[in-house]
This record gives sequence, structure tokens and C-alpha cells, in this order.
Amino acid sequence: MTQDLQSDGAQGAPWRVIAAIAAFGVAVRAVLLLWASPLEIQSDESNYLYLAAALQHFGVYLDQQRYLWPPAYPWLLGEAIGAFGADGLQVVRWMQVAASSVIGVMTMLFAWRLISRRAAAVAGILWVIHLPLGAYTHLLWSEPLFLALLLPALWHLLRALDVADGELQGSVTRRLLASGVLFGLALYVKEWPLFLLPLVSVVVLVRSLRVGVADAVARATLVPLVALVVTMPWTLRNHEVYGRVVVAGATLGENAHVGLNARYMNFDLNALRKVRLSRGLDSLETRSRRAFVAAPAAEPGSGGSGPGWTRRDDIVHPIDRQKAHVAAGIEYALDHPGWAVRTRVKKLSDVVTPMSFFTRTYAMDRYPPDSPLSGGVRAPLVLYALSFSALLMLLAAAGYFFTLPGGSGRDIVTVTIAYVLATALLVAMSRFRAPIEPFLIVLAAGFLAHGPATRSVPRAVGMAITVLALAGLWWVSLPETVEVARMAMGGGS
Amino acid sequence: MRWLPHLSLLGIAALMLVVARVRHVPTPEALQTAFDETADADDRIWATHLAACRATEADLRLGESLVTSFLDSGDDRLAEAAMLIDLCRHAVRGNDAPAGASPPLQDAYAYGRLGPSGWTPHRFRTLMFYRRKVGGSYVGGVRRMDLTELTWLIAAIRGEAIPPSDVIAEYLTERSGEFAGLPRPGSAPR
Repeated sequence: MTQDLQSDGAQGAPWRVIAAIAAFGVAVRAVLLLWASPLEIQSDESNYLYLAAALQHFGVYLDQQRYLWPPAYPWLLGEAIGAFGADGLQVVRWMQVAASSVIGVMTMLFAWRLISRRAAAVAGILWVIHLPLGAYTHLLWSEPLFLALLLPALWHLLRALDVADGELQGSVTRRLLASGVLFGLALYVKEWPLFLLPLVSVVVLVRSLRVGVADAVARATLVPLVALVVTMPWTLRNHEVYGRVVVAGATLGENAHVGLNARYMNFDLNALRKVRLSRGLDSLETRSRRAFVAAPAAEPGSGGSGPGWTRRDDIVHPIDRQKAHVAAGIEYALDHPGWAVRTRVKKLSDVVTPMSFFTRTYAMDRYPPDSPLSGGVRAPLVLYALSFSALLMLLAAAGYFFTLPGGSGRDIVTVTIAYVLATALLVAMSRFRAPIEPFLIVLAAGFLAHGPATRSVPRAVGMAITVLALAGLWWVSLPETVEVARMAMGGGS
Repeated sequence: MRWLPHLSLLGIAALMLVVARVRHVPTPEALQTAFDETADADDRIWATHLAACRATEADLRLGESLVTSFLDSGDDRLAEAAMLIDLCRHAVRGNDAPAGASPPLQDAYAYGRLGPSGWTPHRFRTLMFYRRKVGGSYVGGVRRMDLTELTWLIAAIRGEAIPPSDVIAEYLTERSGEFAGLPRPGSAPR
């Protein structure tokens, strides 16, 4: 069976199928956008747009006191506002719909390269009907733009490893350069891949050792070096403005304040607080299972100020404050190891939640009441989105353990998924899963297309552990998930 | 040959470093430009950005003197620049000010009595850039901007017409009462 997969995958990419499915997926997202408009802005969308408006008006890109975001998305919004006024928001949304074609094509190409032509077609169909992922195209978050850069970056990396042969040095170098440039551009959108770079470099190093240590080191260092050079104008600008070296952005400190602090915060739920308050409902956090969110017991002599640590507004320098927050967060976690462990379970639960920004937007009642997305289809769509996300994770686990062949592709998928889970240990919400949604699609498609192609006791054990872990993590957040689902379907108690 | 791309990249990086070094503006020079009333508004805003973001201590010159200079400049955009995070984080508060007190100079300007024209584009931009920032009341931020406010702000930035003053006033009054009494995150029983 594995041989069948490899011979199938060894054929050329099914470009006609890929193009047709990608066009269909873009059309679905375009319809979603039309039906979702006009859409009130929410949460970070407002913050992105504040930065965009300030950049347009003052010509200065601001930090936001608590963090410094990479500039590309606010810049894009600012340019759109400058050119089209308030209609610029919709222009950016249409650009995101167009950018989703890259995500669809790359998802199918990964499925073709990692598994088979058949899996590529199945992956394409899954991508088309993945409404929680598709919904990002009509929200003003940077996920579509980011994924349209990250996925090609990983693709070129994978292709470089495919031709890791001494006689094809030029081809490898071009692929690695392309990967580095795309990683660099992605860093202008999100800080997220910064620490993924050294991890994928290790994969390149290990997978290239057969061509000699010197060549392997040269290849492994090329991608991060290119990425850092691409981001260097921004890094130098940050050094000029802050007098500190800041690559991409500075969000770690605020994330430490939120994620390594006594008070449990989940931005999926936080956004719904105001909605619930306006309806006279309690905060969703009150429904969380206490064992996974409760703060450490107040310590004797704490002065009655309660557990946790306060934001260091006394540190004026915004970058220095980040460092202080990281240090305080680590210290707090080390002082409360039991709390740190049980709340990390909750963080993992929050990142694998079946919820999404699609269902969250429903729960906030943001889709226009006269839209085809509202009315009778609302509850079925919400149930569909929740079950699709959950099922996709289960099928992806099956695909990972039973279908995905070994090799550099498996390494890259593993590292990327592990990286998402690792970063989620600090702060987590459904949106933080977005970078691996395409890979979940690829893995699920592999399993749907070929079933359990590779069976062994270790893989079966791995699958069993993953299913149990997912079930356990879903159980941890079940009370909130059920309540958000009720809200999203138009109810709530 | 295998290290040629690396060497090329390092060369590009070195070139960028040299350019950055040449174009570097020392903080004293930035401060001088920021306070220079004859300087171009764009130059003053950029110089203020540099000086305010580099400072490691709250600076009275930035939080009080420069804010006053901007507010009294007669230039709408400079006055609005005083509302940004750069100068708000250097705000000087009295010893008896409560924790989390808003920057007093900016507060007084943004909430000062409206002129006979009511909500002008300048006054509306001032309020939005002051109140809709991230960072909490300590730096003057409360609530996020909504779509209506954003639409008006964009119009005000582009020199387009904004709604009549009474419409804006009514809307802002409604928003100020929105979710009054909302408990802070985490204050609910666990």
C-alpha cells in the first residue's frame, strides 16, 4: 500500500484538478463574503484598523503599549483605506478571498507530494468545505495573508529536501532561497514563525547530512539567514525607533502576562463577555472546569492583592516591558508548578477546541440578520462547523499515524504541528490552530483516500493516545463549548 | 561556492547596516526637532516617535512640555499626535492621581468644550486616536473602535464630510454608556 502511495505521488501534480477545485473554493469564499457583508469589526480587527488609520494620518507605525505587531497587515489596511476610504476594508477582504486560492493550491500540492494525487483531490474538497478556515477571508485578521506566505515557504523547503543531492546544488539553493524569502515576508505579517525557523533548519540539517556536513550546514543556515535579511529593514527600523533589536514584532511579553498569570483568559471567550453581559448572561469563564483554570491559592502575606502579577506599566520602554513580563511569567510558573501544569492542559484544550472564529462570529450575532447565513441555516451551519473541525482533527490523527509516509515531509508536518501545540502552551484560542489547518486537511485527506496504509503496533498506540488526548481535551472545555454552540445557534442560557 | 549565497546575504546585511548607521538620528537631535516649532509637522511627529519610544524613563519634557507644544501649535495634526501612545505613555500625573488615571493634558483636550462647530473632523480624530487605542485608561484607551466610528474616522482623515455634530454626539453618548458596569476579566467567581 505504501508503495502504491509513493508511485501515485511520484506522478506529476494534477494541475487541472487542483485549478478547478481552487477556483471552486475561491467561489465558495466569495459567496461567504457576499453573505457576511456588511460585517461589524471586532477585537483585534479594531486594533489593526487603528494602526492602519494612524499610519495613514501620521505616517508613523505605532506600537500598542502592550505589544508591537509586525507591520504588513496594518500597512495593507492603511493603503486600502487611503485608496478606497471605508470601502478599503471590503477591498482587503476580497484580496483575502483571492489569497485563499494560494492556500487551497498549496494544501492540494502538499497532499499530492506527501501522499498521492487522489489525496490531493480529497484535500481540495476538504479545503473547499472547510468553512471555519474559509471564514477568515471575510474577517480582518491576517490569517489568509499569512498562510498564503507560510505554506509556500514550507513547500519550497520540502522541495529543496526532495532534491537534496549534490548534483542539484543550484536547484536546492534556489528552493531554500525562495523558502527564506517567503518566511521573511511571513514575518512581516506575524511574528509566529520566528522560532519555527531554527526548528525547520534542524530538519534540513539532519535530512541533508548525507551530502556532507559542510553542505548540510550550508543548507540548514540558508533559510533563516535569508529570512533575517528580508526582515532586516524592519529590524533596523525597530532598532532606530526603540534602540533594541526586535525582529518582526514583540508580543511575547503580553502573551506571558496573559498566559502565565493567575487569571485564566481565553480570547475566544473574552470576546463573548460583552455579548453575554448585554443579554444578562454570566461570563463563560464561570463555566470552566475549576481544576484547569483556578488560580493558585493566595499566598500568606500577599497583602490581599490576590494572586497573579500585575502588568508593568511602570516600565515606560515598550520592549523592555516585554522582557520583564516574560521573566515575571516564568518566575510565576516556577513558583506554582502544579498550577502551571493543570492550566497548560486547559491551554491545549483551548487550541484544539472545535470552536472557530466562524462559530464565534455567529455567537456574537455579527452576521447580518437578513443574510442567507442567518435564519434557518444558522444552527445547521454552526453544528456543521463544530463537527467538521472535530472530525478533521480525528481524521488527521488517523492520517498521521496510518497514512503519512516517513521522510522529510513527515518531519516538516510533525515539526509544524508540534510548534503550534508548543506555542499554544503560552496562550491559546481556536485561531492559533489556523497555521496547521491545511496540514490537518492533508492528513485527513490521506486517510480518507487510502485508509490505514501503514499499520504497526507503535502507530496504533500513537493513534489511541492521540484520540484519548483529544477526547480528554474536548471534555475539559466542554461546558464552554456547549454554551458557545448554543449562542452561535441563536440561543444561550 | 556552497557559501556564496551566505556571503552575498551577509554583504546585503552589511550594506543595510551601513545605511541604517548613516541615517541614524541621535536622541538629542530628535528631541531638538520634536520641540522645533519651525520644523515640518511630519518631521516633528517622527522625531517625537523616536524620542518617546527610546526613553527608558517617563520624561517630563515629553509628557508635559512637548504635549503642550503640540496642543498649542495650531496645527490639527500635531495636536492629534499628542493623543498617540508615544506621548501618552510619558504622561505626568499628580501625586494624588488614582491608579490608572488617564493622561491629564490629553484628557482635558479630548474632552474639552466643543467649539461652535461642534464635532469637527479634528475633534473627532482627536477623540478616536485618544480613546480607541490599546493600553487601557492609563494611556487614555477605553473600548475598541467600532465600524461606525471607523467609517467616520476614515472620512475625517480623508477630508470627506462627516455626519452632523448632533448625530456624532448622540452616537458617542450611546457608546459611552455601552456595557457600563462590565466586570473586569477574572473578577467573576471561579
